[in-house]
Amino acid sequence: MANKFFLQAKSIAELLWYEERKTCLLCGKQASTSLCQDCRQLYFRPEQRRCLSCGKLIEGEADRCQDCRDGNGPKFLSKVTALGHYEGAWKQCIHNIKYKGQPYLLIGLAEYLTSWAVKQLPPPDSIVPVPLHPNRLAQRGFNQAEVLASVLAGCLGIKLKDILCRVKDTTPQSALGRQERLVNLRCAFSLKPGIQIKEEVIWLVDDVVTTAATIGECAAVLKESGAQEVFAFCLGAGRESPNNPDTASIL
Amino acid sequence: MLFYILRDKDGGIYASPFPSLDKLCNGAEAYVYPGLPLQLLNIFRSNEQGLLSESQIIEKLAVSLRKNECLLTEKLRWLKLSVFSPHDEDCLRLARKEELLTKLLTIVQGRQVTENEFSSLAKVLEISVTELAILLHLAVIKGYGEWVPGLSRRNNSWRCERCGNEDCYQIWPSYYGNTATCLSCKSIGPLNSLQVIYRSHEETLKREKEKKAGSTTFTSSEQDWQFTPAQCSAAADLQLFARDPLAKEALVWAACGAGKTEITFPVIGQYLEHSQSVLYAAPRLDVVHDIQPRLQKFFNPCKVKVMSGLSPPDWTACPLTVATTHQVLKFSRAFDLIILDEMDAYPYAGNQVLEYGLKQALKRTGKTIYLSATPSASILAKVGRQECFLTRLPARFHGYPLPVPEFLKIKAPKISEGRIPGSRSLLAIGDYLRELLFEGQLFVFVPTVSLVNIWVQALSLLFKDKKITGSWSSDPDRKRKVASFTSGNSDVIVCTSILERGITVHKAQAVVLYADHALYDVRALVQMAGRVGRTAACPQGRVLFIAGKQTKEITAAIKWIEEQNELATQGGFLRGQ
Ligand SMILES: [Zn+2]
Ligand SMILES: [Zn+2]
Ligand SMILES: [Zn+2]
Repeated sequence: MANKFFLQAKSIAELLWYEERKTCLLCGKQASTSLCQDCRQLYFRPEQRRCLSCGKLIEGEADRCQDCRDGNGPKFLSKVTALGHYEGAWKQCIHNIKYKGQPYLLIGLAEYLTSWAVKQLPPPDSIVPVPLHPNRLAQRGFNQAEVLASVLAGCLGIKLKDILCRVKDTTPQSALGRQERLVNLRCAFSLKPGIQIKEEVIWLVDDVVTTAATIGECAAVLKESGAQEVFAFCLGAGRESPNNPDTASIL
Repeated sequence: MLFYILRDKDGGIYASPFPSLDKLCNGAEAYVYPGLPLQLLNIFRSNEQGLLSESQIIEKLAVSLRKNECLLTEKLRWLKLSVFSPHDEDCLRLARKEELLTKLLTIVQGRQVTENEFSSLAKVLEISVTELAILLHLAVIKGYGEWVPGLSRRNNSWRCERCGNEDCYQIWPSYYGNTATCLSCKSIGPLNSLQVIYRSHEETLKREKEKKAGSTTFTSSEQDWQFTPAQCSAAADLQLFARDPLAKEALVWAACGAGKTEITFPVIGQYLEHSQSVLYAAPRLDVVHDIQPRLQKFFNPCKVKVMSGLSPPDWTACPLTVATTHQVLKFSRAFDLIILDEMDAYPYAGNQVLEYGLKQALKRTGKTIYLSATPSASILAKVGRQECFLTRLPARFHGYPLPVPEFLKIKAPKISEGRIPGSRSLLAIGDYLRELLFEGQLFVFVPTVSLVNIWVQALSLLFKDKKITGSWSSDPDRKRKVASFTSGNSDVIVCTSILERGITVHKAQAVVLYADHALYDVRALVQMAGRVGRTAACPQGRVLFIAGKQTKEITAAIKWIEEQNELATQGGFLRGQ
């Protein structure tokens, strides 16, 4: 299913109904682009720093969140970046993509995805999506991370490599506490047989980074298999509240 | 939702999301595992089904999956249904709950329910989404409805099963190969080809509904419609149409601002009295929300339900529904009468989807009434072939004739570097505009968005003491600017014709610049002229068509309007006759 995006028939759609005008995907207000200025500011906060280790939005001067400075962040990743704050309408949008069968929305977001990723991360040799377990994939019908990766790969002309597989059907991460999450994931991923990624710079792509345990595990597998560097990109992450870093959570 | 291939007693091949339920109800014995999206399973032609062996069925499916570039790695195989399956117990339990099924059937009667709507419907019934899906499948087994994929494949393209669109979809890669999301009906909730629709069959609950509606049936005897003579005559025509068992469609050709909505009320009343269901559909949100209270006032105690992008999902069954035209796509064989307001308000491409939706929402025995000030050539041709009944409402409610546009032959002034330098033609136009501005506010119509600001600038220089604003349909500031004009805070609004509908201003005059432009057909010109003289306080006014040459369209538009006035005179509908 890789790199098979036809960016077609997009503009005609807007003309179909008299009533329909171009509106912001998140707030529904009229906008000339797919997201309005206000929503981009509210959810993407481009001026705000991201924790280099886990992608979380952070305040202040440090380049990592408190959690990661305490050594709890994921290893094996050179840098992680989140496009936006996983909250409100942006969270709802990611939910619609994932659970309401609307990954096509990612296509309308392509320009924001690519411009943020390119600004934040060095050019990769390949883009690798975080895999879904086959059972879940069969039920849902698609892997949102893979659709996301294919949008990026298509727009940037970079190879998409669907090379990781999920060997354990883990309990959904959101149902678990932090420590449980790490245990839950151990050895959940492996490289598909016969794949070569020696010396490659890789972007690992997922929809949402929570504790970053998932991308950490995937990065470990990629590094063990000879990847030179692994970076990660995701649509949404939490935000460290400036006063009380411990309560920073997206759940 | 995943579906499994099963066979019925006669060897027919069909798909079910819950084979356990088919085992329970029909004694099905085996199914093909694993489950797949319904769209991938609709590959068996009816004439070959009985002839295929079990292994041939698997082979045919496998070929189709390969062709679709489906990534399924598991081997397709037949499994016996005698083995316990995870949904057995649920199915058994729900199959016994007849009251729950009846309740569900009342709600989904006449509806097309997409998978994304399941959760809101399940909440109403206070059951889980899986339980709802099982109940819906029970309804399918009992013949109350059917499952259809969100989109079906058609050779190399797709067709949306909800709106009928075949050209406009987004393809994206899924586990099951290329997947399509329909872009033409996404505004009522996106639908893709992995998903399914429960589509109810017509009239399965007729008796049930009649009993229910009994308590809130409307009786029209007491109504005083307060019609003008012109409205009376058109309303009477419509009632004749409604009683004619052979007539299917009627067109109300009304003058702009003639009060065409109200004349449908007696017919609606007639339908409600017989416990029949009626849909009043309008293209714009504001029209829908404006009309609902008017209908509610007339048809108390019968509840008038609103469905629009703004209203939350409402699953109650109502005899009278007001909805934006998008919403017709949520229905299937639901209405005995559909009234389509401003049927001409669509660009051509939208028409096909709308036509499909209307046809789908209407019962096979149902009737449609179209309301229009500027009917299209195609509907007029239908009238000509006597396939559509016609009634005219030529006079405005205040009894004054429509202002007849005056044609002025003035060449369009030159534009250089985004400005209009002073020229004789600009000054000539300016003189006419100044004359009109003595009478009140002014609509100045231009054909393209880029001309709006150029003319705002030019007119601001010409009329230094006047407030000039400009807007177009996709102008983000449109609402504010239009409000400033309607409240009298600006004297002139320069706008594209798209903006012309639904704005009523007291003392407005109208000027159409570039009236010979290719974008302006008869109907656009008539609509723009229709902005003038709409209120009883100010029933008259002037309309100027300004262009370098008088096109056929201009001549025809003037003729249309004169003809309405003539009809009004003949009918004796004008004041002072
Ligand atoms: Zn917005
Ligand atoms: Zn961090
Ligand atoms: Zn559609």
